[in-house]
Amino acid sequence: MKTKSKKKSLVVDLEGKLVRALADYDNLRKRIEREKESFLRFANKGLITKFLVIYDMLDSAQKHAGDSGIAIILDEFKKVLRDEGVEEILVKKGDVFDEELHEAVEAVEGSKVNFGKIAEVLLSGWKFSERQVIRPVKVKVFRRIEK
Amino acid sequence: MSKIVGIDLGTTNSVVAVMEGGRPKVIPASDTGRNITPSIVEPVKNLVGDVAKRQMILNPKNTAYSVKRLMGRRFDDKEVKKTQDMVPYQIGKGKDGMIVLEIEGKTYTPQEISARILMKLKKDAEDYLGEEVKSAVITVPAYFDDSQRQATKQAGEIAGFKVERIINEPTAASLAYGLEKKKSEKIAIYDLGGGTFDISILELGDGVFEVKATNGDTHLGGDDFDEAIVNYIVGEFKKDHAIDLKSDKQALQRVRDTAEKAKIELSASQEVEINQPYITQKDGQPLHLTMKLTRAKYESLTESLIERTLRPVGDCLKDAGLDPHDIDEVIMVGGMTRMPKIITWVKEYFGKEPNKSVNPDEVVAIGAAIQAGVLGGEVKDILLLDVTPLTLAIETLGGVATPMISRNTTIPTSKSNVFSTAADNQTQVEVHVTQGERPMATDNKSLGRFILDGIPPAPRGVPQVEVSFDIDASGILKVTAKDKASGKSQNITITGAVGLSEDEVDRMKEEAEKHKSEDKKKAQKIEARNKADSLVATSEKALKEAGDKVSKDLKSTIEKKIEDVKGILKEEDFDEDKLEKTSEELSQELQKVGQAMYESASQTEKESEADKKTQDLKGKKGGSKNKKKKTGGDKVEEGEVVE
Repeated sequence: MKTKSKKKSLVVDLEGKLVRALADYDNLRKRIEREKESFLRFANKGLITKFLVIYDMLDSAQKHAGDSGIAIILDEFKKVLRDEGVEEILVKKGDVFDEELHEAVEAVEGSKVNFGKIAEVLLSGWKFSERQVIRPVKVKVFRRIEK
Repeated sequence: MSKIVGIDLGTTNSVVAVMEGGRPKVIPASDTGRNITPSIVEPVKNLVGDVAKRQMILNPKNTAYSVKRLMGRRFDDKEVKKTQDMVPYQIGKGKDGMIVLEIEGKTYTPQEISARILMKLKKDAEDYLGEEVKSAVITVPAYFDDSQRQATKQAGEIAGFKVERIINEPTAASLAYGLEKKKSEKIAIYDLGGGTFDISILELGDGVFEVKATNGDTHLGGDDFDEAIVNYIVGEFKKDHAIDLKSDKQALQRVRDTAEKAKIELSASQEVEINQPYITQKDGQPLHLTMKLTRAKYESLTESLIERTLRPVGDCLKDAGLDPHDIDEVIMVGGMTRMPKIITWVKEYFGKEPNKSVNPDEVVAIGAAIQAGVLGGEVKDILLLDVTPLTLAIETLGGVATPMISRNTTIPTSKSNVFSTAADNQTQVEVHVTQGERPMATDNKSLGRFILDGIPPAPRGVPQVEVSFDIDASGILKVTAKDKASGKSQNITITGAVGLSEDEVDRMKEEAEKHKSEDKKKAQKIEARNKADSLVATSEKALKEAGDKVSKDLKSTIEKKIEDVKGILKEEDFDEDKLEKTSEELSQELQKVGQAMYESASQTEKESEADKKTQDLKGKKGGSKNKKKKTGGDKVEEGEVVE
């Protein structure tokens, strides 16, 4: 009799502990989620994407002005990005279009020799050194000729 | 048993979710990290999602999108003709008069194309979960007929899934909001996505959802809203500079990007600035696009688009034989339903607040994952854990509600803190338990109070009273206060600390939000009062202890200043600036006491002792004498009780 009631109270005790452990886990999960959320909010990718817009503007200003001072600013800008593990996706006219790195925003009529090749680079693209693309390079591409 | 995933196979975008630890989790695409994958496929090179989208313009005839519009349809279907006019890829006639896509001399059924999307989602899920995924629940629009459902199922099978179930998108959305737990409800689902608008009316009875009616507009969505902004920007620019940005493809692309960004921002702010320097040139001079777009203007630009949802909604209700006010719940689905104007419109039309707390881009996939969890037995196995709807606190010095267990904490849980007394020789403390989000105890709901007495007399701040809150699984709150010195303890048990009606919770949360700034001011005032009180106590004590070591003049000056501060504090609504100024003066004078004592001490032999005393006096902080019986604001130490 005695052992039976002892066991019973042990079960009640353990059940209580189990529920508590689950609740603890759940609260931990919530906390991690909250932390992760705030981390993500300020995570580099989002911030860098926003700053890239400013880089674009400076870059287009430079294309008009050709100012030696702005050239220095742009270089410094790239250096800061490089320090954060961000590098420009290098591409030039005549390179073969690669959808992993480039985004075609316009197609222009080409000839047999150049179809599928980049006609013009419109907007710089960026990636993390470990390859994840932050923003693909926006390019104009020679369209394949209709058969 | 391996996990079953839930998939929203959409016209424009697709989403995959899974139950994890009893909760739905949307799985990000492994290549982009985004939660949504564009429903775009280039079957020749086997590109799916964002990569397929990036090359679309180069390869329009080979890139399949909006394939959902073609699922399970025959070649002579009217909808097929409509779609063919819209898309650049070629649609042909296949086996049994069903349609096929003709790409580079090969034919693909819509099932095969959709299967490519499903395969990518399957792989993303497997990468995320680290195990093979074999089964899926896939959603379809409520209006899909047998043939369309069959085609969707086949797509899943081609992708290597065992399709556990095909469920309706509006049903999935209802599951995401847990509506199946209600007895009987009439639910309207307003779904405005990237390219289509759907309205569905469901009736829930005995846990089963029945589709009463559906309607919609297959060519209305977020893209139309973007276009409205683009047209406005282009029009304004033309007025100012006599240049048509639409003729400059590069400029137009930038306007498109900026329009979409503006649309998203206008859901949160009243006005956005559109800045695109060097958008184009005129006579060799650069031109910049700079303008402001207000939410009001955006709303007027898109009014006709929102109105286009009106007729389908009305027709749908008519088909269901219902009036707007017969609807019990309204659910918002699709990214466009974030637009405040649409929310207001729906709210006014149905006369009730729509459900919109779940991400509208993900709500369907989440519902599918929940259904998958039920089928996999996962949902059943999970112990349902409740949460505290509002913060539980105790009242401390100055009527401040000091949180013990914050809102939305999963129960059972316990938390303890050590508090002290506010006055010298205080032998009892009152523990007042409150519930609510407001910083002042009186503004919150009082749950109960009790007194712990028999605390050995000691200077304020010395006794250590440990207060612990413990909520068990059924929501019963036990609050215990224990004096660490005497070991005496007292407790109270409160039922219903969790059981608050939804309305009550909403009302209290709203109130807290409303009173935020007012509360902050109140709290500042109390803090100022507490600080001044403590300064007065310190000063009085200092004078007493200094005795004749200070000059009579200084003593009377300080006494006068003490009276001044007390005078100000007598007023319930005292002048904070005045208090600060007078307190500062008192504190200046008080420093002279220390100085005087130090000087007198150096003349005598009690040098070291007196010096120590002075420092003690200056360093002391604490509560006041007129706040007896309150638990002190001085935290001796903080710590969680570990069981």
